[in-house]
Amino acid sequence: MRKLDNMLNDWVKLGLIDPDQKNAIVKFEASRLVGGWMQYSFIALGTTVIGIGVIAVVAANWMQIADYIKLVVDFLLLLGLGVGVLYFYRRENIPLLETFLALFILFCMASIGLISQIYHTGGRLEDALIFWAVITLPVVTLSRHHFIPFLWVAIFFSAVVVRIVEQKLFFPNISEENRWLALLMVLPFFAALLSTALAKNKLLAPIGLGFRRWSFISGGVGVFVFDVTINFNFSSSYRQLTEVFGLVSLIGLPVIALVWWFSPLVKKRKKIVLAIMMLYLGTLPIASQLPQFEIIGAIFTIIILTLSAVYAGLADNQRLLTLLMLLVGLRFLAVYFEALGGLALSGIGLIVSGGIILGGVYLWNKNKSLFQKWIMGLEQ
Amino acid sequence: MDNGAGAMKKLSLWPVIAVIIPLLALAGLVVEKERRMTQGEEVVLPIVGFDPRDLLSGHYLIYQIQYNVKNLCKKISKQSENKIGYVVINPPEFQTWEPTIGQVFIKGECKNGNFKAGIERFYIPQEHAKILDEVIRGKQGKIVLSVFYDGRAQVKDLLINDKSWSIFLEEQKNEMLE
Repeated sequence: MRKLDNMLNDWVKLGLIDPDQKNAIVKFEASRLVGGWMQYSFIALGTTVIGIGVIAVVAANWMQIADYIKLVVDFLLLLGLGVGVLYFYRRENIPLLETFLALFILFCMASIGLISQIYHTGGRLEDALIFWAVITLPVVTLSRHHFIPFLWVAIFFSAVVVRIVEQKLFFPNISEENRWLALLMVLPFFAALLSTALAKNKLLAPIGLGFRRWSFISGGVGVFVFDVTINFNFSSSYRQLTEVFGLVSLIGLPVIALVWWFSPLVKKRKKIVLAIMMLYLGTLPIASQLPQFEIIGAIFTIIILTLSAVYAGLADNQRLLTLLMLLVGLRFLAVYFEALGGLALSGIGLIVSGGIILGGVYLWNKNKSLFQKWIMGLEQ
Repeated sequence: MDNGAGAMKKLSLWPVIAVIIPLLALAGLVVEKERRMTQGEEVVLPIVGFDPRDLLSGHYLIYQIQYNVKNLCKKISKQSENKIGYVVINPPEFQTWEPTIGQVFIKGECKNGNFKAGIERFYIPQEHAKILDEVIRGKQGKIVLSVFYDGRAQVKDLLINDKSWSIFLEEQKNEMLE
């Protein structure tokens, strides 16, 4: 808010806006979020800590209290939190709505723990989490902030992944390490698909946004896993790896088509996302056919990270842009350290890479207006 | 996020339904567990095991049930792992097809040669975890199950020397005081 005030004062001094407009902007921004992201961060932290505390209290398993009393108290607390959710939803008090929502869904998780404790249920943790995700999905749609859908998607996604791998529901005939690899590489496509499908539904749009964020995060994980697998020969069978990558491509291609048709992103910005996805898929068969060229993993990572940085720049996300550029730099550095056996070659490679980056900067400056025009086009 | 706000306001019943769904689902879970606990056939089986810990639900004993059945999970080939199997209680027998109505049997999955029916856990208070763990390791434990007609089983009690674990602990405590 202080930063905004300073900026607005500057704009008033420069005559870009008049004091009335400044006051209107300040009033509007103040009404949008009470306390802004810092308050939400503390609310998120506080409710998570309370949630973990509740789970720990349940986990202590007080034998002095009769089971039915534990259950009655549990349901009364849940009901109270539910009433709190409805009260603050109606009053449109967003910070308290988010707090009660977080407490409510975490308490639902604690309740599942309590029921499994009382009835000695011997099921899997991931099954309990999937059940939790299903029953709390409706209430998560009431959220007006990113944190709760993001948390929900994280738990749901992790539980489903573990379930799929454990039960061999996906690629049943390959080794476990390759199954993990395949699943981690295909996850961003599933997340993108769910994000695109849910974005159209106003009620489920917050969950869709959660999936969108997780498609980026799981994409990052996929890139990292691919790079490490190729670079350190983690896969025991390259023949199997070819099959895995083939299957990932088979699943990925229709997803790309669907995202292309239905994604809510503007058309030109969509092109960058699709370029990233196509590169992600296109590199897999090449890499599996040329296992001796370990550098493919590094090249793949650097290009994808750079494209993602361009996307972050277009989306005006400067922190992400800086982080991605830092990762690109670190990957270049890693190439240098990996090539201890052939320093001269890697040195030349680094010089060429640095040259390409500097060449890019030179071209950018020379054709700045042309690029800016292009970016303006992407942002339309 | 705010784009959904308008839609929410219009759907005035939706928030209430959204809050009620998890409550009903959890209540339904309790009812189903209670039904299985009270309406099933009671079966007592010996166990051996040890004590790990679950972050979500606290301390529990995890054990293997001694079904005393020949060829348990042997008829299921390695390629068809995770397949369903049935342990008939009387006469003790393992089979891969569903037993006839009237027989008391436990339905489970064969995993790496072990029969798992979701009843291999008994939650215990943290302060008693150590002593119960030692007793169970000493093969003095039995588990009381409620077995439903469809083969789904529910744990009812843990017996130590044929006494409920809470009574056993109480007696141990009294002996120590004497």
